[in-house]
Amino acid sequence: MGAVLAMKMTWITGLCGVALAGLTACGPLYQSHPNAVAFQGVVTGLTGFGADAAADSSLVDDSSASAPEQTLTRAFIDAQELDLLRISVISREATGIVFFAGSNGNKVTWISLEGVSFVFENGLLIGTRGFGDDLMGSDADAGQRSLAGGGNHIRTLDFLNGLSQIERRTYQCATVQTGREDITIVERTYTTSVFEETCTGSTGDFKNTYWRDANGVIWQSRQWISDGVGYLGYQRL
Amino acid sequence: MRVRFENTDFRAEAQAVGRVARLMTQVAPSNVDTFVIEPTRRGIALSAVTLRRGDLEALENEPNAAALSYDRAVFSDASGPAPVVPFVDPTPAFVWGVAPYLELSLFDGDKPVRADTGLEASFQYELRPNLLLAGSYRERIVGNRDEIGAISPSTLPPVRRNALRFGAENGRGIENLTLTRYGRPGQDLYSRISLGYLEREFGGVSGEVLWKPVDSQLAVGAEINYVMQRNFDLGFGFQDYDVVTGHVSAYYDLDNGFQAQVDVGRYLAGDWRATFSLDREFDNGWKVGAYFTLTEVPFDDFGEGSFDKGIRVEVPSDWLFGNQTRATVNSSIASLARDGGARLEIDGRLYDVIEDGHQGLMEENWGRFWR
Repeated sequence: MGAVLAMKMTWITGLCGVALAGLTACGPLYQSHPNAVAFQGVVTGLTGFGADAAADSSLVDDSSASAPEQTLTRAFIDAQELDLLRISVISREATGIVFFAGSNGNKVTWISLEGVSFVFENGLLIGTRGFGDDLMGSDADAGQRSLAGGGNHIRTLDFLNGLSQIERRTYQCATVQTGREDITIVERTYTTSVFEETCTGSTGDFKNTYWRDANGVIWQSRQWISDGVGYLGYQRL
Repeated sequence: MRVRFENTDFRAEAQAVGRVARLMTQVAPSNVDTFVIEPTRRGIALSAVTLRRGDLEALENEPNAAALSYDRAVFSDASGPAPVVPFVDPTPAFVWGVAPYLELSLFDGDKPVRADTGLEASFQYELRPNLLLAGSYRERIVGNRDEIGAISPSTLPPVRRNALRFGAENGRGIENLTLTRYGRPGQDLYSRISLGYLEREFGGVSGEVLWKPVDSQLAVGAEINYVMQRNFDLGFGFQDYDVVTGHVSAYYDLDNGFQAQVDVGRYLAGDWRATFSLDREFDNGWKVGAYFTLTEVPFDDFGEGSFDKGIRVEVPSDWLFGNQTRATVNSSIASLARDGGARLEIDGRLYDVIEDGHQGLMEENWGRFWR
């Protein structure tokens, strides 16, 4: 016996690497077949073809808008049946429009045409889905209260790590009002107070900014999503 | 409200259960306050996960939602009849595919490497959700696996020693063609009957029963097969070697993702005794394991290698390619295939089919419930 393993081996590999021969898999059975997917990935990467079939969205992949962003007018917004948000993922230089999808108590879910979704509670981001490195959940109550005039509070953010485990991070946050500002969003002007929420945690810091009117409506903000995605900007339309 | 579904997209069954639960909060009448969600695979229900609608609404996007929702979920057996409201399954019953294949044989005694490449055509026909007809056929395009290298002699019937000869000379043939029926004979019990060309080298009948409570770390199964050795040309014919082979198996899900398995029984060459395996399944879907088989065949009679042993790796495709799929890429390195301690290679053994839908693996992947 001894080191027999090294001496003689039989390899049983899957159907792999034959993309080299210029062949690819086809048929409904292979829509999610490893070889077919890998090959499609190669084709997409090399030529840009097949980008439509790529699972994720323009919001995630490039800077093209998911709705008629360039021609956005108040008349267009008023004509929509659903409430809209204009959002941008700052690190990816991506902007787009997301639509009201549903609400659960104070939590409101907004979704893009490609299926990327955002959940806000009283204007504070508490979850995203569809980015990969998503914010899986967060508590907004203390942060929300701090916007009434500033203060210190603790925020907890949940992320999903590569091992399918939830990673909880706790941040010590301080909110201060930094000024007042009139902002214009598609032909309408709002008088807002500007609040900055600075949060410090053991794995990093982030700073959220909120433009809030006298009724407590957050018309514009910049909020942190995750390490992998960075900051989200939004405007209520 | 009770819903049965089959997840074909997500590696983690917990993720599929979470998606179905959230769909139900959108469509269920408002007086429904309890959801019973039953994942199925190959037509049989694997478990019943009972969730309260109020918990889902309260925990959505809250910190620690995953752990809290797991604590409030109730797991139980789902052997009863399906819900009464019928539905039209949108997925076609017949699916087919053509894909390239690459087959390597290493160290056959004369040449270090031989390889074939060609096309493999496969199909699967779902006669009923739990009654499946499936097969695949290969056609070599180029390759040099047509010459067979030296095969060292042995005193045992040649059940695996001549594995390289199958499909080698003519370069085409039926890889497998089987009819399989899955069932739930009772609470915590699962069954399988397979008939046909079960694998490349053997065809016949195979029956299996498995006992596995949803929350149990222990599972016990028994499998019995009557098989005949197939012709080397991979046609419909058989050689004149036949054998009754089978095992009693115990599976134990140790903590930390380790899983131990012992199979005791009769192997293809008629030799008796046991296989021991230990696998580590990581939470991201990677699986790495090792096994060895000791039978009554003396080391000298077994030939080179003395006994059968190997390591195996399973990589989930969603990890490799970033898309949502349940497919995996498997590789194994075994000592040279010999006749002692050889088992029938059957697709769809019960433990592999049901494991993902039971509490142990769902708990490990519950972080994806809200994904």
